[in-house]
Amino acid sequence: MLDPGFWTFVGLTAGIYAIFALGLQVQYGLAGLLNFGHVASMAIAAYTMAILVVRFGLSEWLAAAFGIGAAVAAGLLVGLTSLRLRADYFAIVTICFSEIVRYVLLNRQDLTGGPEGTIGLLGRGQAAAYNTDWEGLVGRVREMVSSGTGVEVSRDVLMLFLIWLVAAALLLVVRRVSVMPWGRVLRAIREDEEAASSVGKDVFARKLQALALGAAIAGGAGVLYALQFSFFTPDDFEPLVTFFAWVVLILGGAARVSGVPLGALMFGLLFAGTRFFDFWPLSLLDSADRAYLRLIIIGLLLIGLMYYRPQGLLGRRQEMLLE
Amino acid sequence: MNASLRGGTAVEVDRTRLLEVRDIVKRFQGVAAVDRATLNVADGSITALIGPNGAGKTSLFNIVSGFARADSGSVRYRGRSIARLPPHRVARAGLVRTFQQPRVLRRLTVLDNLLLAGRRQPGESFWRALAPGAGRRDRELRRRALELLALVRLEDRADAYAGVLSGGQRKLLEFVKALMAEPLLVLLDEPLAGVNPTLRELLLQRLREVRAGGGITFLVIEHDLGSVMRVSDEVAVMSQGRVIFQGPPDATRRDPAVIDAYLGSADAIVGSGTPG
Repeated sequence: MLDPGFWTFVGLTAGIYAIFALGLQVQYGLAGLLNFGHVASMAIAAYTMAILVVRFGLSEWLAAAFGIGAAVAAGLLVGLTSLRLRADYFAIVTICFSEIVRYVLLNRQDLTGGPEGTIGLLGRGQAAAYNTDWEGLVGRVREMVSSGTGVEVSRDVLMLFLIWLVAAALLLVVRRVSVMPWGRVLRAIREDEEAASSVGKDVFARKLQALALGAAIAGGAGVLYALQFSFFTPDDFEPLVTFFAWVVLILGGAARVSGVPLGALMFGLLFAGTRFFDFWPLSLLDSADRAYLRLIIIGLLLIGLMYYRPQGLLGRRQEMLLE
Repeated sequence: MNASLRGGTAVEVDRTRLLEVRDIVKRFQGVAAVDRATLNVADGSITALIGPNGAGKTSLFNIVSGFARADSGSVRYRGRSIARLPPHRVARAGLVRTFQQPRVLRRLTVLDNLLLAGRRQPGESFWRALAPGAGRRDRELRRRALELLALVRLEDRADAYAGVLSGGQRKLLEFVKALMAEPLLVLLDEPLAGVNPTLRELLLQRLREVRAGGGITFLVIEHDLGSVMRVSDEVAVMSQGRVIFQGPPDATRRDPAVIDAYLGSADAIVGSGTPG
Protein backbone atom coordinates (compact mmCIF):
# COMPACT_ATOMS: atom_id res chain seq x y z
CA MET A 1 0.00 0.00 0.00
CA LEU A 2 2.78 2.42 0.78
CA ASP A 3 4.85 1.42 -2.20
CA PRO A 4 5.51 4.61 -4.24
CA GLY A 5 5.16 2.59 -7.43
CA PHE A 6 1.54 1.91 -6.52
CA TRP A 7 0.72 5.58 -6.06
CA THR A 8 2.50 6.44 -9.29
CA PHE A 9 0.32 3.92 -11.06
CA VAL A 10 -2.81 5.40 -9.47
CA GLY A 11 -1.71 8.86 -10.54
CA LEU A 12 -0.94 7.79 -14.12
CA THR A 13 -4.31 6.08 -14.51
CA ALA A 14 -6.05 9.10 -13.03
CA GLY A 15 -4.12 11.54 -15.22
CA ILE A 16 -4.92 9.77 -18.47
CA TYR A 17 -8.55 9.40 -17.45
CA ALA A 18 -8.69 13.06 -16.43
CA ILE A 19 -7.71 14.09 -19.97
CA PHE A 20 -9.91 11.48 -21.59
CA ALA A 21 -12.94 12.46 -19.49
CA LEU A 22 -12.28 16.15 -20.10
CA GLY A 23 -13.08 15.51 -23.76
CA LEU A 24 -16.39 14.04 -22.66
CA GLN A 25 -16.96 16.99 -20.35
CA VAL A 26 -16.80 19.34 -23.35
CA GLN A 27 -19.19 17.16 -25.32
CA TYR A 28 -21.68 16.26 -22.62
CA GLY A 29 -21.12 18.67 -19.74
CA LEU A 30 -21.14 21.74 -21.98
CA ALA A 31 -22.95 20.78 -25.17
CA GLY A 32 -25.18 17.98 -23.86
CA LEU A 33 -24.03 15.45 -26.48
CA LEU A 34 -24.57 11.87 -25.40
CA ASN A 35 -21.37 10.23 -26.65
CA PHE A 36 -21.20 6.54 -25.77
CA GLY A 37 -18.32 5.86 -28.16
CA HIS A 38 -15.76 8.27 -26.74
CA VAL A 39 -13.12 5.52 -26.60
CA ALA A 40 -13.00 5.46 -30.42
CA SER A 41 -11.16 8.82 -30.43
CA MET A 42 -8.53 7.40 -28.11
CA ALA A 43 -8.13 4.20 -30.13
CA ILE A 44 -7.90 6.01 -33.46
CA ALA A 45 -5.26 8.45 -32.21
CA ALA A 46 -3.13 5.77 -30.55
CA TYR A 47 -3.28 3.37 -33.48
CA THR A 48 -2.74 6.06 -36.12
CA MET A 49 0.38 7.17 -34.33
CA ALA A 50 1.77 3.66 -33.90
CA ILE A 51 1.03 2.63 -37.50
CA LEU A 52 2.51 5.80 -39.01
CA VAL A 53 5.72 5.40 -37.03
CA VAL A 54 6.20 1.67 -37.48
CA ARG A 55 4.96 1.18 -41.01
CA PHE A 56 5.55 4.52 -42.64
CA GLY A 57 8.60 5.69 -40.75
CA LEU A 58 7.11 9.04 -39.74
CA SER A 59 8.68 10.94 -36.88
CA GLU A 60 6.95 10.23 -33.58
CA TRP A 61 5.97 13.87 -33.09
CA LEU A 62 4.39 14.18 -36.50
CA ALA A 63 2.68 10.83 -36.08
CA ALA A 64 1.21 11.95 -32.74
CA ALA A 65 -0.19 15.09 -34.41
CA PHE A 66 -1.68 13.00 -37.21
CA GLY A 67 -3.13 10.66 -34.60
CA ILE A 68 -5.01 13.51 -32.94
CA GLY A 69 -6.01 14.81 -36.38
CA ALA A 70 -7.42 11.39 -37.29
CA ALA A 71 -9.46 11.34 -34.07
CA VAL A 72 -10.91 14.76 -34.94
CA ALA A 73 -11.66 13.68 -38.52
CA ALA A 74 -13.49 10.59 -37.23
CA GLY A 75 -15.43 12.75 -34.77
CA LEU A 76 -16.47 15.10 -37.58
CA LEU A 77 -17.52 12.14 -39.72
CA VAL A 78 -19.78 10.80 -36.98
CA GLY A 79 -21.09 14.30 -36.26
CA LEU A 80 -21.86 15.27 -39.84
CA THR A 81 -23.79 12.07 -40.46
CA SER A 82 -25.51 11.66 -37.10
CA LEU A 83 -25.74 14.88 -35.08
CA ARG A 84 -29.18 15.62 -36.49
CA LEU A 85 -30.48 12.48 -34.81
CA ARG A 86 -32.25 12.70 -31.49
CA ALA A 87 -29.90 12.43 -28.51
CA ASP A 88 -30.60 8.77 -27.74
CA TYR A 89 -30.16 7.67 -31.34
CA PHE A 90 -26.95 9.65 -31.54
CA ALA A 91 -25.71 7.74 -28.49
CA ILE A 92 -26.46 4.44 -30.24
CA VAL A 93 -24.56 5.55 -33.37
CA THR A 94 -21.51 6.54 -31.32
CA ILE A 95 -21.28 3.24 -29.45
CA CYS A 96 -21.70 1.36 -32.73
CA PHE A 97 -18.96 3.44 -34.30
CA SER A 98 -16.55 2.74 -31.47
CA GLU A 99 -17.24 -0.99 -31.76
CA ILE A 100 -16.71 -0.87 -35.54
CA VAL A 101 -13.35 0.78 -34.91
CA ARG A 102 -12.37 -1.91 -32.40
CA TYR A 103 -13.42 -4.75 -34.69
CA VAL A 104 -11.47 -3.28 -37.59
CA LEU A 105 -8.43 -3.02 -35.32
CA LEU A 106 -8.89 -6.64 -34.30
CA ASN A 107 -9.41 -8.04 -37.77
CA ARG A 108 -7.24 -6.01 -40.12
CA GLN A 109 -4.19 -7.81 -38.80
CA ASP A 110 -2.05 -6.76 -41.79
CA LEU A 111 -2.58 -3.10 -40.89
CA THR A 112 -2.98 -3.06 -37.11
CA GLY A 113 -1.25 -6.12 -35.75
CA GLY A 114 -4.64 -7.62 -34.88
CA PRO A 115 -5.38 -9.08 -31.44
CA GLU A 116 -1.67 -9.21 -30.59
CA GLY A 117 -1.65 -5.46 -30.58
CA THR A 118 0.96 -2.99 -31.72
CA ILE A 119 3.82 -5.30 -30.92
CA GLY A 120 2.78 -7.35 -33.95
CA LEU A 121 2.74 -4.38 -36.33
CA LEU A 122 5.69 -5.80 -38.26
CA GLY A 123 4.32 -9.33 -38.34
CA ARG A 124 5.24 -12.32 -36.24
CA GLY A 125 8.71 -12.77 -34.85
CA GLN A 126 9.52 -9.09 -34.85
CA ALA A 127 8.65 -6.79 -31.94
CA ALA A 128 7.55 -3.40 -33.22
CA ALA A 129 8.08 -0.22 -31.18
CA TYR A 130 6.73 3.22 -31.94
CA ASN A 131 8.22 5.15 -29.04
CA THR A 132 12.00 4.77 -29.31
CA ASP A 133 12.61 8.51 -29.75
CA TRP A 134 10.21 9.28 -26.94
CA GLU A 135 11.90 6.89 -24.51
CA GLY A 136 15.26 8.34 -25.53
CA LEU A 137 14.02 11.82 -24.68
CA VAL A 138 12.59 10.66 -21.34
CA GLY A 139 15.94 9.03 -20.55
CA ARG A 140 17.84 12.23 -21.31
CA VAL A 141 15.46 14.30 -19.17
CA ARG A 142 15.99 11.87 -16.27
CA GLU A 143 19.76 12.24 -16.62
CA MET A 144 19.41 16.02 -16.68
CA VAL A 145 17.29 15.98 -13.54
CA SER A 146 19.64 13.67 -11.66
CA SER A 147 22.79 15.56 -12.67
CA GLY A 148 21.14 18.91 -11.97
CA THR A 149 19.51 18.19 -8.64
CA GLY A 150 20.95 14.87 -7.58
CA VAL A 151 17.44 13.40 -7.33
CA GLU A 152 16.81 10.16 -9.15
CA VAL A 153 13.34 10.13 -10.75
CA SER A 154 11.93 6.96 -12.20
CA ARG A 155 10.55 6.95 -15.73
CA ASP A 156 7.01 6.56 -14.43
CA VAL A 157 7.29 9.49 -12.05
CA LEU A 158 8.48 11.66 -14.90
CA MET A 159 5.54 10.48 -17.05
CA LEU A 160 3.21 11.13 -14.14
CA PHE A 161 4.46 14.69 -13.95
CA LEU A 162 4.16 15.19 -17.69
CA ILE A 163 0.68 13.72 -18.01
CA TRP A 164 -0.69 15.86 -15.19
CA LEU A 165 1.01 18.90 -16.70
CA VAL A 166 -0.86 18.26 -19.95
CA ALA A 167 -4.05 17.58 -18.01
CA ALA A 168 -3.69 20.85 -16.08
CA ALA A 169 -3.03 22.86 -19.25
CA LEU A 170 -6.06 21.36 -21.01
CA LEU A 171 -8.24 21.88 -17.94
CA LEU A 172 -7.29 25.54 -17.90
CA VAL A 173 -8.07 25.92 -21.60
CA VAL A 174 -11.46 24.23 -21.28
CA ARG A 175 -12.24 26.16 -18.12
CA ARG A 176 -11.41 29.42 -19.85
CA VAL A 177 -13.52 28.84 -22.95
CA SER A 178 -16.40 27.47 -20.90
CA VAL A 179 -16.78 30.72 -18.94
CA MET A 180 -16.46 32.79 -22.13
CA PRO A 181 -19.36 33.40 -24.54
CA TRP A 182 -18.24 30.23 -26.38
CA GLY A 183 -19.26 28.13 -23.38
CA ARG A 184 -22.45 30.11 -22.87
CA VAL A 185 -23.62 29.22 -26.37
CA LEU A 186 -22.95 25.53 -25.73
CA ARG A 187 -24.76 25.56 -22.39
CA ALA A 188 -27.70 27.27 -24.08
CA ILE A 189 -27.76 24.54 -26.72
CA ARG A 190 -27.61 21.90 -24.00
CA GLU A 191 -30.65 23.51 -22.36
CA ASP A 192 -32.82 24.17 -25.41
CA GLU A 193 -31.65 23.99 -29.01
CA GLU A 194 -34.62 25.87 -30.43
CA ALA A 195 -34.26 28.70 -27.96
CA ALA A 196 -30.58 29.01 -28.92
CA SER A 197 -31.33 29.09 -32.63
CA SER A 198 -34.12 31.62 -32.09
CA VAL A 199 -31.48 34.13 -31.01
CA GLY A 200 -29.21 33.40 -33.96
CA LYS A 201 -26.93 30.58 -32.76
CA ASP A 202 -25.94 27.94 -35.31
CA VAL A 203 -26.75 24.87 -33.24
CA PHE A 204 -25.42 22.23 -35.65
CA ALA A 205 -22.07 23.96 -36.22
CA ARG A 206 -21.63 24.46 -32.48
CA LYS A 207 -22.36 20.84 -31.64
CA LEU A 208 -19.95 19.74 -34.34
CA GLN A 209 -17.29 21.99 -32.85
CA ALA A 210 -17.82 20.55 -29.37
CA LEU A 211 -17.64 17.04 -30.78
CA ALA A 212 -14.38 17.81 -32.59
CA LEU A 213 -12.79 19.46 -29.56
CA GLY A 214 -13.77 16.53 -27.35
CA ALA A 215 -12.33 14.10 -29.90
CA ALA A 216 -9.08 16.07 -30.07
CA ILE A 217 -8.69 15.96 -26.28
CA ALA A 218 -9.50 12.24 -26.18
CA GLY A 219 -7.02 11.77 -29.04
CA GLY A 220 -4.40 13.46 -26.87
CA ALA A 221 -5.24 11.01 -24.09
CA GLY A 222 -4.79 8.18 -26.59
CA VAL A 223 -1.33 9.41 -27.59
CA LEU A 224 -0.28 9.69 -23.93
CA TYR A 225 -1.71 6.25 -23.21
CA ALA A 226 0.35 4.81 -26.06
CA LEU A 227 3.51 6.58 -24.90
CA GLN A 228 3.05 5.48 -21.31
CA PHE A 229 2.41 1.79 -21.96
CA SER A 230 4.66 1.27 -25.00
CA PHE A 231 2.29 -1.32 -26.37
CA PHE A 232 -1.46 -1.78 -26.62
CA THR A 233 -4.10 -4.04 -28.13
CA PRO A 234 -7.69 -3.51 -29.35
CA ASP A 235 -8.82 -4.88 -25.98
CA ASP A 236 -7.59 -1.67 -24.38
CA PHE A 237 -10.39 0.18 -26.16
CA GLU A 238 -13.46 -1.73 -25.13
CA PRO A 239 -16.75 0.16 -24.59
CA LEU A 240 -16.11 -0.18 -20.87
CA VAL A 241 -13.40 2.48 -21.19
CA THR A 242 -15.99 4.97 -22.45
CA PHE A 243 -18.16 4.22 -19.45
CA PHE A 244 -15.22 4.67 -17.10
CA ALA A 245 -14.96 8.20 -18.50
CA TRP A 246 -18.66 8.62 -17.74
CA VAL A 247 -17.98 7.42 -14.20
CA VAL A 248 -15.26 10.05 -13.84
CA LEU A 249 -17.62 12.72 -15.15
CA ILE A 250 -20.52 11.74 -12.91
CA LEU A 251 -18.31 11.39 -9.82
CA GLY A 252 -16.95 14.90 -10.22
CA GLY A 253 -20.15 16.55 -11.40
CA ALA A 254 -20.80 16.62 -15.13
CA ALA A 255 -21.45 20.34 -15.42
CA ARG A 256 -18.23 21.41 -13.68
CA VAL A 257 -14.86 21.40 -15.44
CA SER A 258 -13.10 21.31 -12.08
CA GLY A 259 -14.96 18.11 -11.21
CA VAL A 260 -13.03 16.18 -13.84
CA PRO A 261 -9.64 15.90 -12.09
CA LEU A 262 -11.32 15.10 -8.78
CA GLY A 263 -13.48 12.43 -10.37
CA ALA A 264 -10.43 11.04 -12.16
CA LEU A 265 -8.42 10.81 -8.93
CA MET A 266 -11.24 8.99 -7.17
CA PHE A 267 -11.65 6.69 -10.11
CA GLY A 268 -7.90 6.04 -10.36
CA LEU A 269 -7.77 5.17 -6.70
CA LEU A 270 -10.64 2.73 -6.99
CA PHE A 271 -9.62 1.29 -10.32
CA ALA A 272 -5.92 0.81 -9.68
CA GLY A 273 -6.16 0.69 -5.92
CA THR A 274 -8.49 -2.25 -5.53
CA ARG A 275 -5.94 -4.36 -7.39
CA PHE A 276 -3.61 -3.95 -4.45
CA PHE A 277 -6.14 -4.47 -1.69
CA ASP A 278 -4.56 -7.64 -0.37
CA PHE A 279 -5.19 -7.17 3.34
CA TRP A 280 -7.65 -9.18 5.40
CA PRO A 281 -10.52 -9.86 4.75
CA LEU A 282 -9.94 -9.17 1.06
CA SER A 283 -6.94 -11.49 1.13
CA LEU A 284 -9.40 -14.36 1.49
CA LEU A 285 -10.20 -13.84 -2.20
CA ASP A 286 -7.65 -14.66 -4.83
CA SER A 287 -6.32 -11.82 -6.94
CA ALA A 288 -8.47 -12.60 -9.98
CA ASP A 289 -11.60 -12.32 -7.87
CA ARG A 290 -10.36 -9.13 -6.27
CA ALA A 291 -10.01 -7.60 -9.74
CA TYR A 292 -13.77 -7.89 -10.13
CA LEU A 293 -14.27 -6.38 -6.72
CA ARG A 294 -13.28 -2.96 -8.04
CA LEU A 295 -16.17 -2.91 -10.49
CA ILE A 296 -18.54 -3.83 -7.68
CA ILE A 297 -17.10 -1.10 -5.47
CA ILE A 298 -17.30 1.50 -8.27
CA GLY A 299 -20.91 0.51 -8.87
CA LEU A 300 -21.85 0.75 -5.20
CA LEU A 301 -20.10 4.08 -4.93
CA LEU A 302 -22.03 5.44 -7.90
CA ILE A 303 -25.33 4.29 -6.44
CA GLY A 304 -24.46 5.97 -3.16
CA LEU A 305 -23.41 9.13 -4.92
CA MET A 306 -26.57 9.28 -7.00
CA TYR A 307 -28.56 8.92 -3.81
CA TYR A 308 -26.78 11.52 -1.71
CA ARG A 309 -25.20 13.87 -4.28
CA PRO A 310 -26.88 13.44 -7.68
CA GLN A 311 -25.12 16.55 -8.94
CA GLY A 312 -21.68 14.95 -8.43
CA LEU A 313 -19.05 15.94 -5.87
CA LEU A 314 -18.58 19.47 -7.19
CA GLY A 315 -21.88 19.96 -9.01
CA ARG A 316 -24.44 22.55 -8.02
CA ARG A 317 -27.48 20.95 -6.45
CA GLN A 318 -29.59 23.99 -7.26
CA GLU A 319 -29.11 23.38 -10.98
CA MET A 320 -30.49 19.86 -10.65
CA LEU A 321 -33.72 21.08 -9.08
CA LEU A 322 -34.66 23.71 -11.66
CA GLU A 323 -37.59 23.02 -13.89
CA MET B 1 -29.36 50.72 -32.55
CA ASN B 2 -31.19 49.75 -35.68
CA ALA B 3 -30.17 52.71 -37.75
CA SER B 4 -26.87 51.09 -38.62
CA LEU B 5 -28.55 47.85 -39.56
CA ARG B 6 -30.99 49.61 -41.83
CA GLY B 7 -28.60 52.11 -43.30
CA GLY B 8 -26.40 49.67 -45.13
CA THR B 9 -29.00 47.99 -47.30
CA ALA B 10 -28.42 48.11 -51.02
CA VAL B 11 -31.72 46.51 -51.86
CA GLU B 12 -34.66 48.83 -52.33
CA VAL B 13 -36.93 48.02 -49.40
CA ASP B 14 -40.62 48.68 -49.55
CA ARG B 15 -40.84 50.42 -46.20
CA THR B 16 -44.53 49.87 -45.92
CA ARG B 17 -44.09 46.10 -46.07
CA LEU B 18 -41.41 44.80 -43.76
CA LEU B 19 -42.88 41.32 -43.95
CA GLU B 20 -44.98 39.90 -46.76
CA VAL B 21 -46.52 36.48 -46.37
CA ARG B 22 -48.16 35.12 -49.55
CA ASP B 23 -50.38 32.07 -49.94
CA ILE B 24 -48.64 29.97 -47.34
CA VAL B 25 -49.86 26.38 -47.12
CA LYS B 26 -48.75 23.94 -44.44
CA ARG B 27 -50.33 20.51 -44.12
CA PHE B 28 -49.92 18.02 -41.31
CA GLN B 29 -50.94 14.56 -42.51
CA GLY B 30 -53.39 15.97 -44.99
CA VAL B 31 -54.93 18.54 -42.66
CA ALA B 32 -54.13 22.10 -43.67
CA ALA B 33 -52.97 23.96 -40.55
CA VAL B 34 -52.24 26.97 -42.72
CA ASP B 35 -54.28 27.27 -45.89
CA ARG B 36 -53.17 30.00 -48.31
CA ALA B 37 -52.55 32.56 -45.63
CA THR B 38 -51.57 36.04 -46.80
CA LEU B 39 -50.43 38.77 -44.47
CA ASN B 40 -48.50 42.05 -44.54
CA VAL B 41 -46.69 43.69 -41.69
CA ALA B 42 -46.00 47.38 -42.16
CA ASP B 43 -42.65 48.72 -41.05
CA GLY B 44 -42.89 50.37 -37.64
CA SER B 45 -46.31 48.96 -36.83
CA ILE B 46 -47.69 46.83 -34.08
CA THR B 47 -49.74 44.25 -35.92
CA ALA B 48 -51.96 41.88 -33.99
CA LEU B 49 -52.61 38.37 -35.25
CA ILE B 50 -55.78 37.06 -33.68
CA GLY B 51 -58.07 34.12 -34.25
CA PRO B 52 -59.63 31.16 -32.51
CA ASN B 53 -57.53 28.26 -31.21
CA GLY B 54 -56.30 26.08 -34.05
CA ALA B 55 -56.58 28.86 -36.62
CA GLY B 56 -52.94 28.33 -37.62
CA LYS B 57 -51.34 31.37 -35.99
CA THR B 58 -48.46 29.59 -34.32
CA SER B 59 -47.89 27.41 -37.40
CA LEU B 60 -47.56 30.59 -39.42
CA PHE B 61 -45.07 31.96 -36.88
CA ASN B 62 -43.04 28.77 -37.13
CA ILE B 63 -42.87 29.11 -40.90
CA VAL B 64 -41.94 32.79 -40.89
CA SER B 65 -39.20 32.25 -38.28
CA GLY B 66 -37.70 29.28 -40.13
CA PHE B 67 -38.67 26.63 -37.57
CA ALA B 68 -40.98 24.94 -40.05
CA ARG B 69 -41.01 24.82 -43.83
CA ALA B 70 -44.15 25.72 -45.79
CA ASP B 71 -45.46 23.31 -48.41
CA SER B 72 -46.01 26.26 -50.72
CA GLY B 73 -46.18 30.04 -50.70
CA SER B 74 -43.61 32.75 -50.08
CA VAL B 75 -42.26 34.70 -47.14
CA ARG B 76 -40.48 37.94 -47.97
CA TYR B 77 -38.72 39.96 -45.31
CA ARG B 78 -37.20 43.32 -46.27
CA GLY B 79 -37.86 42.40 -49.88
CA ARG B 80 -35.96 39.11 -49.80
CA SER B 81 -37.29 35.59 -49.65
CA ILE B 82 -36.49 33.92 -46.32
CA ALA B 83 -38.65 30.83 -46.72
CA ARG B 84 -35.67 28.49 -46.94
CA LEU B 85 -33.44 30.04 -44.29
CA PRO B 86 -32.71 28.06 -41.11
CA PRO B 87 -33.95 29.71 -37.87
CA HIS B 88 -30.58 31.09 -36.77
CA ARG B 89 -30.13 32.88 -40.11
CA VAL B 90 -33.61 34.36 -39.87
CA ALA B 91 -32.81 35.62 -36.37
CA ARG B 92 -29.51 37.11 -37.51
CA ALA B 93 -31.38 38.97 -40.26
CA GLY B 94 -33.26 40.76 -37.47
CA LEU B 95 -36.46 38.73 -37.40
CA VAL B 96 -36.69 37.35 -33.88
CA ARG B 97 -39.51 35.30 -32.42
CA THR B 98 -40.63 34.34 -28.95
CA PHE B 99 -42.41 31.16 -27.97
CA GLN B 100 -45.86 30.65 -26.53
CA GLN B 101 -44.33 28.58 -23.74
CA PRO B 102 -41.41 30.83 -22.87
CA ARG B 103 -38.16 29.07 -23.75
CA VAL B 104 -35.91 30.63 -21.17
CA LEU B 105 -32.71 28.73 -20.48
CA ARG B 106 -33.40 27.54 -16.97
CA ARG B 107 -29.89 26.59 -15.90
CA LEU B 108 -28.44 29.86 -17.11
CA THR B 109 -28.78 33.01 -15.06
CA VAL B 110 -31.32 35.63 -16.08
CA LEU B 111 -28.44 37.87 -17.17
CA ASP B 112 -26.78 35.09 -19.19
CA ASN B 113 -30.08 34.49 -20.97
CA LEU B 114 -29.86 38.05 -22.24
CA LEU B 115 -26.12 38.11 -22.90
CA LEU B 116 -26.53 35.00 -25.04
CA ALA B 117 -28.83 36.91 -27.37
CA GLY B 118 -26.32 39.75 -27.85
CA ARG B 119 -24.88 40.29 -31.30
CA ARG B 120 -21.27 40.58 -32.47
CA GLN B 121 -19.63 38.53 -29.74
CA PRO B 122 -16.04 37.67 -30.68
CA GLY B 123 -15.82 35.46 -27.58
CA GLU B 124 -18.23 33.03 -29.19
CA SER B 125 -15.36 31.84 -31.38
CA PHE B 126 -13.22 29.17 -29.71
CA TRP B 127 -9.84 30.69 -30.55
CA ARG B 128 -10.88 34.24 -29.74
CA ALA B 129 -12.31 33.03 -26.45
CA LEU B 130 -8.78 31.95 -25.52
CA ALA B 131 -7.26 35.33 -26.36
CA PRO B 132 -7.10 38.05 -23.74
CA GLY B 133 -9.89 40.62 -23.85
CA ALA B 134 -12.50 38.10 -24.97
CA GLY B 135 -14.76 39.23 -22.13
CA ARG B 136 -14.68 42.89 -23.11
CA ARG B 137 -17.77 42.75 -25.29
CA ASP B 138 -19.63 41.13 -22.39
CA ARG B 139 -19.20 44.29 -20.38
CA GLU B 140 -20.88 46.38 -23.09
CA LEU B 141 -23.65 43.85 -23.49
CA ARG B 142 -24.12 43.66 -19.74
CA ARG B 143 -25.00 47.34 -19.62
CA ARG B 144 -27.64 46.91 -22.30
CA ALA B 145 -28.94 43.72 -20.66
CA LEU B 146 -29.38 45.41 -17.29
CA GLU B 147 -31.27 48.26 -18.96
CA LEU B 148 -33.61 45.78 -20.57
CA LEU B 149 -34.08 43.90 -17.28
CA ALA B 150 -34.93 47.19 -15.58
CA LEU B 151 -37.50 47.78 -18.30
CA VAL B 152 -39.46 44.74 -17.12
CA ARG B 153 -38.49 45.06 -13.44
CA LEU B 154 -36.29 41.99 -13.38
CA GLU B 155 -33.03 43.79 -12.63
CA ASP B 156 -32.77 42.42 -9.10
CA ARG B 157 -33.14 38.87 -10.45
CA ALA B 158 -30.18 39.25 -12.84
CA ASP B 159 -28.01 36.66 -11.10
CA ALA B 160 -30.75 34.16 -10.32
CA TYR B 161 -31.20 31.06 -12.45
CA ALA B 162 -33.92 31.72 -15.01
CA GLY B 163 -35.50 28.46 -13.83
CA VAL B 164 -36.60 30.04 -10.55
CA LEU B 165 -38.67 32.76 -12.25
CA SER B 166 -42.46 32.61 -12.25
CA GLY B 167 -44.32 31.93 -15.46
CA GLY B 168 -45.15 35.60 -15.91
CA GLN B 169 -41.58 36.68 -15.27
CA ARG B 170 -40.39 34.15 -17.85
CA LYS B 171 -42.69 35.79 -20.38
CA LEU B 172 -41.12 39.15 -19.62
CA LEU B 173 -37.62 37.69 -19.87
CA GLU B 174 -38.53 36.08 -23.18
CA PHE B 175 -39.72 39.49 -24.40
CA VAL B 176 -36.52 41.35 -23.50
CA LYS B 177 -34.39 38.44 -24.73
CA ALA B 178 -35.86 39.06 -28.18
CA LEU B 179 -35.10 42.78 -27.85
CA MET B 180 -31.53 41.99 -26.83
CA ALA B 181 -30.97 40.36 -30.23
CA GLU B 182 -31.30 43.83 -31.86
CA PRO B 183 -34.33 42.89 -33.95
CA LEU B 184 -36.14 44.83 -36.66
CA LEU B 185 -39.21 42.64 -36.42
CA VAL B 186 -40.29 40.71 -33.34
CA LEU B 187 -42.88 37.95 -33.47
CA LEU B 188 -44.51 37.64 -30.05
CA ASP B 189 -46.51 34.46 -29.48
CA GLU B 190 -49.11 35.18 -26.78
CA PRO B 191 -46.93 37.44 -24.65
CA LEU B 192 -49.76 38.18 -22.21
CA ALA B 193 -51.05 34.65 -21.55
CA GLY B 194 -50.47 33.65 -17.94
CA VAL B 195 -49.17 37.08 -16.99
CA ASN B 196 -50.87 38.81 -14.07
CA PRO B 197 -52.74 42.09 -14.76
CA THR B 198 -50.00 44.35 -13.35
CA LEU B 199 -47.24 42.77 -15.42
CA ARG B 200 -49.63 42.69 -18.37
CA GLU B 201 -50.03 46.45 -18.29
CA LEU B 202 -46.28 46.85 -17.90
CA LEU B 203 -45.62 44.68 -20.93
CA LEU B 204 -48.14 46.52 -23.09
CA GLN B 205 -46.67 49.84 -22.04
CA ARG B 206 -43.14 48.66 -22.88
CA LEU B 207 -44.34 47.34 -26.20
CA ARG B 208 -45.55 50.80 -27.20
CA GLU B 209 -42.44 52.52 -25.84
CA VAL B 210 -40.06 50.19 -27.63
CA ARG B 211 -41.95 50.56 -30.88
CA ALA B 212 -41.89 54.34 -30.57
CA GLY B 213 -38.29 54.61 -29.43
CA GLY B 214 -36.40 51.82 -31.11
CA GLY B 215 -38.02 51.56 -34.51
CA ILE B 216 -38.90 47.93 -33.86
CA THR B 217 -41.91 46.37 -35.56
CA PHE B 218 -44.07 43.84 -33.75
CA LEU B 219 -46.32 41.05 -34.94
CA VAL B 220 -48.25 39.78 -31.92
CA ILE B 221 -50.41 36.70 -31.49
CA GLU B 222 -52.77 37.36 -28.61
CA HIS B 223 -56.03 36.08 -27.22
CA ASP B 224 -56.58 39.02 -24.90
CA LEU B 225 -58.33 40.95 -27.64
CA GLY B 226 -59.20 44.00 -25.55
CA SER B 227 -55.58 44.62 -24.68
CA VAL B 228 -54.17 43.89 -28.06
CA MET B 229 -56.70 46.02 -29.89
CA ARG B 230 -55.72 48.99 -27.76
CA VAL B 231 -52.06 48.93 -28.72
CA SER B 232 -52.11 47.68 -32.29
CA ASP B 233 -52.23 49.68 -35.54
CA GLU B 234 -53.32 46.75 -37.63
CA VAL B 235 -55.19 43.57 -36.89
CA ALA B 236 -55.04 40.40 -38.94
CA VAL B 237 -57.62 37.74 -38.21
CA MET B 238 -56.95 34.08 -38.90
CA SER B 239 -59.56 31.39 -39.08
CA GLN B 240 -59.14 27.82 -40.30
CA GLY B 241 -55.70 28.45 -41.72
CA ARG B 242 -56.54 31.61 -43.62
CA VAL B 243 -56.24 35.30 -42.93
CA ILE B 244 -59.85 36.35 -43.32
CA PHE B 245 -59.35 40.02 -42.57
CA GLN B 246 -56.60 42.57 -42.18
CA GLY B 247 -57.21 46.20 -41.29
CA PRO B 248 -57.32 48.80 -38.53
CA PRO B 249 -58.77 47.73 -35.13
CA ASP B 250 -62.00 49.71 -35.56
CA ALA B 251 -62.80 48.07 -38.88
CA THR B 252 -61.98 44.67 -37.39
CA ARG B 253 -64.63 45.07 -34.70
CA ARG B 254 -67.30 45.71 -37.34
CA ASP B 255 -66.31 43.13 -39.93
CA PRO B 256 -69.05 40.51 -40.23
CA ALA B 257 -66.66 37.73 -41.24
CA VAL B 258 -64.59 38.35 -38.14
CA ILE B 259 -67.60 38.39 -35.87
CA ASP B 260 -68.75 35.20 -37.53
CA ALA B 261 -65.40 33.50 -37.00
CA TYR B 262 -65.66 34.09 -33.29
CA LEU B 263 -69.16 32.56 -33.32
CA GLY B 264 -71.06 34.75 -30.99
CA SER B 265 -68.10 35.77 -28.90
CA ALA B 266 -68.30 39.07 -30.72
CA ASP B 267 -68.53 40.72 -27.32
CA ALA B 268 -64.91 39.86 -26.78
CA ILE B 269 -64.00 41.98 -29.78
CA VAL B 270 -66.30 44.88 -29.13
CA GLY B 271 -65.60 44.74 -25.41
CA SER B 272 -64.00 47.58 -23.56
CA GLY B 273 -60.61 45.99 -23.07
CA THR B 274 -60.82 44.64 -19.57
CA PRO B 275 -58.58 41.58 -19.56
CA GLY B 276 -60.62 38.43 -19.68
